[in-house]
Amino acid sequence: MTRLAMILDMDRCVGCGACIIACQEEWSLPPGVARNWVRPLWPQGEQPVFTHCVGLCNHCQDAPCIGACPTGATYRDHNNRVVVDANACIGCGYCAHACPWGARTVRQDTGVVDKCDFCAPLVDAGYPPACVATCPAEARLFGDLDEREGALSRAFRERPVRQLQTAQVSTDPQVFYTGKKALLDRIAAEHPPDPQGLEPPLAGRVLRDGLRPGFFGLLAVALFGDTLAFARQLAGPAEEAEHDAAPMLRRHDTAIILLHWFNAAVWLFQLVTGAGLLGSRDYRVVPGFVNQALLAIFGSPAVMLKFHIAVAALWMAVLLVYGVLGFKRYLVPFVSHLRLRRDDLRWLRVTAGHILRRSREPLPPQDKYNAGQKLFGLAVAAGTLLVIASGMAMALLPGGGEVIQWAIPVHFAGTGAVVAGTAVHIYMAAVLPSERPVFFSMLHGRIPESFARERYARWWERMTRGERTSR
Amino acid sequence: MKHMGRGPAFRRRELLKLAGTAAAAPLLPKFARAQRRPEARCGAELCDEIPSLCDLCFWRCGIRAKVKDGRIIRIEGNPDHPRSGGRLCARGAAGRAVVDDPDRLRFPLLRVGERGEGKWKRISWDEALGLWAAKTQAAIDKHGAGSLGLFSHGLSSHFINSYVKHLGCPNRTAPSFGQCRGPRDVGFQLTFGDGPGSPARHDMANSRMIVLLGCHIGENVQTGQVREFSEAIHRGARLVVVDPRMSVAAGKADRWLPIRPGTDTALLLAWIHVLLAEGLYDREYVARHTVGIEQIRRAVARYGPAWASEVTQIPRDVIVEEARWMGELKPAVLIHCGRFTAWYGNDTQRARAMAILAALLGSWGRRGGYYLPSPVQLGPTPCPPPHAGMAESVATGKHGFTHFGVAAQEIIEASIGPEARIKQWIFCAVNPAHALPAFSKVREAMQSVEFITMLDIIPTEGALWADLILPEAAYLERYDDVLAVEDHPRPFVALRQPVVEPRGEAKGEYWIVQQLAHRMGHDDCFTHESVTGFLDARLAPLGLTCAELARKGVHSLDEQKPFIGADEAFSFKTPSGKIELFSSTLQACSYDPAPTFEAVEQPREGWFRLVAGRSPYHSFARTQNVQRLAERDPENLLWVNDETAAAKGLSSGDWVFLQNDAGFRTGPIRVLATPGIRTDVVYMVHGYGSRSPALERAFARGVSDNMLASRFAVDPPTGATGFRVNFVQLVTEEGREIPGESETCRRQRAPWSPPREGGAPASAPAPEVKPTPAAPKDEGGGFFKVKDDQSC
Repeated sequence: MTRLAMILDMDRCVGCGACIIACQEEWSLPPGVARNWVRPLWPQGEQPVFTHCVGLCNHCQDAPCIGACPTGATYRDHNNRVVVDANACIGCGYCAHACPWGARTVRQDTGVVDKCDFCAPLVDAGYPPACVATCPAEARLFGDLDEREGALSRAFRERPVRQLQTAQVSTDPQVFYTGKKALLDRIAAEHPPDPQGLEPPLAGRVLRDGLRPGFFGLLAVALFGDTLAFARQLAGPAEEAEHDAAPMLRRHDTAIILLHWFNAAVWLFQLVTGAGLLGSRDYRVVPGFVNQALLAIFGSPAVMLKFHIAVAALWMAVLLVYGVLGFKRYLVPFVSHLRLRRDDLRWLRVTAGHILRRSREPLPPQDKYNAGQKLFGLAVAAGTLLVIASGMAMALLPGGGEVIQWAIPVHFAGTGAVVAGTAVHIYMAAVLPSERPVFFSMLHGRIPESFARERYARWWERMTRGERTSR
Repeated sequence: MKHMGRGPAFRRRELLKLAGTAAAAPLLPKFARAQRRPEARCGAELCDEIPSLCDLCFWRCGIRAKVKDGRIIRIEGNPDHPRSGGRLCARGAAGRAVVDDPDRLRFPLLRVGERGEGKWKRISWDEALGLWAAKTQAAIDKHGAGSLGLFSHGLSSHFINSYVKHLGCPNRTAPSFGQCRGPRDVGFQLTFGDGPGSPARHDMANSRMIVLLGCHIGENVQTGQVREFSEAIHRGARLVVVDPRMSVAAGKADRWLPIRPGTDTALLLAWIHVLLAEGLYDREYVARHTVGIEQIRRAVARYGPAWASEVTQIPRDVIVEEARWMGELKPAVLIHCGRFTAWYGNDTQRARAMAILAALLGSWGRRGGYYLPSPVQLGPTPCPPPHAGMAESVATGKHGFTHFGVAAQEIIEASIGPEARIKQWIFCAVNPAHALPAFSKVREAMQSVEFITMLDIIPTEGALWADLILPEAAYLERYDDVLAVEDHPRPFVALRQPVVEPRGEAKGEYWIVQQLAHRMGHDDCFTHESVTGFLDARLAPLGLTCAELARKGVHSLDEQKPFIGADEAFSFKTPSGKIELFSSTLQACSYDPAPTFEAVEQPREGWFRLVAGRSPYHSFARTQNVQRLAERDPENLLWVNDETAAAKGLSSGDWVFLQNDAGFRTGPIRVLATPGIRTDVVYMVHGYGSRSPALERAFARGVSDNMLASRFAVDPPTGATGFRVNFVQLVTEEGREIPGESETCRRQRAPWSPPREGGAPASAPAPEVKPTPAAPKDEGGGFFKVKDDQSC
């Protein structure tokens, strides 16, 4: 546990740029990518000075990039460095947008964000960072702020040392500057931190300020509806639930039952890992301790992301197999069953009336799925498509583009639609006593004929037509 | 964080990996296997670490190359190297790309198109060497050994120099002398009996005051020098920077003196005047160690500060005050001798003035000034002296103190025309377009000579003109002659050794010249089969072998005496045995024995003096094609005073063209409007504007100041050539002057020497070089197909 920091001595620095090249070479950075900078500040003004704006990641104590990272890839390590776990990075660039100093770039070749990590691997092996080691002017002091007799502490005692931050952007940088006031003033004036990044990009704002509250609102409405319905049923006359002895109809194939439960398990797992990944200040959907607990289970966001992606891949593969092999048998009927009919609207209205006890009107006859189930099915289908598309974009596209920026809110929206629908779905299927046969049909595939006749009159009619004719 | 040093992080895991990678050993070059060291670090993997020497500038820092599977992964500083202490500048750190440059010369090439066209065919080494030997032999048989001309640079050129000397050819020249440090070497040697050394023996870290004249440390980066400079500033040394432009160093200075260009000698003489007049010099040191104080006193009597103020445009009080500071802080006052010192043709006298100033302050051989050289004795060079003596040189006899061969312009002049005495040229690591005086003349000579051989690693402009191109191994692929460093408090030797195999068929220079010598029947040259055998012999007097030196890359020798003792009767290597403030040697050769000030031409209204300098990312033209460096600093800017720019309606970022007083025009170049430069001066970084289309990244990037230096001034004692004597105008692409002049500019142009007559700038006291006719507008890959260069 150390507090690593750097002091740049602008009296010593001659702006030769050795630090840039040493860094690029040390980390084999491709052309066009650099983790630090030396920009000449040519002599200008009444009292001209010639110095350089020299910088690198400030490893801010209050780092905006950490809060902005949607996956937790950016974090503060045990030596107080702000580092990126490339394996947890999806290349969305929210952090690059957030950094007021422009210390981050999304690399086109790797698709993930690149930044100075104070040469963590070197330093942890006992070497100084590459820029410090090479600096011909010895203008860089690097070490542990907590070490009382260290170079940094000595420098702090001996001369004025400054942070280059403004009232608006006060992130407590851990890269400090020393030198003649005129030089530091010039540097501060010419390259002030950019406060614009303190607000996320549009996609991030949509996620943070639009979708996230929207999701919780939708969930609240769904749960409220559930509760009302449940309360009504408790208060109302006990329904006849004795369908067991009645003749049964085949409602679901075993393959579909398996798929249903597989799907449910996948969604559950992805929800948990997804919520765990979405753990940063700006985008959190569960309390912090939940994130901590999940991180403790998985070890790191990178592992969590690996599982998230692996499970998604398996899920997509299974869906694909079903879609291809069961195209005629399952997919086409499923799609046609979801088609909304004119009286579906009426069914919804009447059901709402029932729940709110405003109506005793009989429900219109339904096919295999009632309108509520259809709506849920459509939400799941749409959400699934959105989640797959955006998830593949995040996992496969090279980073840095708008596409990935927007893939995050889209992924969230798709998930939100499914989760809100599922809140009703679970209630209907598992909680409401009157709906028990539907739940059990997803276990053994059969449904009492009497129940079917009552709830799914059209489907019952079709299913039993041949039977009744022959009878 | 206890391990901030560069300690070996020796870990078991790496040892295990070492065993693991042994299987890959056959892939590695032999020498690399021998050097395998467990503490090497290449990211997560293990690699070999081979010490060698950088070649990106004359400082020759120690490097360690990390090599894996025959590829260089990283070049780091070698902490064992006394002069660089493990640090590297941007260029040194980027050295990997020198080897990996896709434009490298890989095979011997023979010209098939016209000269300058850049059309070649690949030939074998056997053919190439046979041809070279036959041509050389023919020239010697027909015209004598004096018909060869050699232009060379760097450690690797020791071999060709040794052999050409052996052939009896005196016509050798090196831009590093005649176009760079010649005047200061000679000026100091005449005064102290020793030159200032290369790199100069400045004890800057201990200086209490540093005076830089036209030297811009910081933009001009050498690791050890920058470290000492920063250290001195950190410790509060007084820094005075004399420069028409606010350099990085000037930006750190206690005082920036934006001197009128060409008047530095006046300032130095005034300082000497004040030191003597006010008795501020080191009386004891001067009495004990110098001769000629009274003659100097008489000689500088007329160069008072008031006069100098008018000449230099530095206020009189400032001149006096700084002289008093020197008197106060002596002897730890460093009058930095600079390196590039061939400016205006009066350069040896300026260097003499600097040396005299240093002597009066007692700083030669004293802490904080200059330390003394520590000679190192090496074994013999590869070739014995010529059997038949030297042929007659083409030197005109005008320059008595050309320490290296003959002056470049004398070789060039003697190569033009059918009656020319020089028939064949050899270039070794010299770029004729950027490193020689008056390129129009050079081009004329290159058209005239019968055969041009070029040894280089990349196809520079010269390669386009060469008949035969021999691909040299890059510095990371070859052995060079031993680097013996006498100019360090503790002398040392260091080795450049290959860290990877050469690309293509490139060869080390020892082998190339050896093959030539043997084909010419000179078996008494290059007698050692391999270069390592030669290096063993070279190191033998030190009790070292090449293999031993190869292990750490450097070997420090016993410390000699860096400083003169307090009561010591020191013997200087001058005729008098003393520091010659008044030079009897110069007197004997009919030069001014005490420095005098010669006025140089100043620009008239509408014209500017063009001065050039350095970028920390480039070593002149030779690094322009290095990927990382080209990316960092792809083109040069034209510094223009902001008032001047405003008067002309220009602002930073605008593109302009430049035209000199001989009608040469080049551009476009981007303007940097700044108060950090005098109104009568414009500045750019030297080395840009390559004309070689074979260099992808360098070609036509930026502007070459050399293309505007169509005239030059000659420093009489050394024959060194100053390229600051052409004046330029800012023009449009069509060559129309961009008009406008500020009030300050008018004031700064105010003449102080006898006013001139006539409209055009009068010719400087320099040989006039007529511009050659406009370049043919061929688009076929010719040397001058560049759009931005037109001669009028």
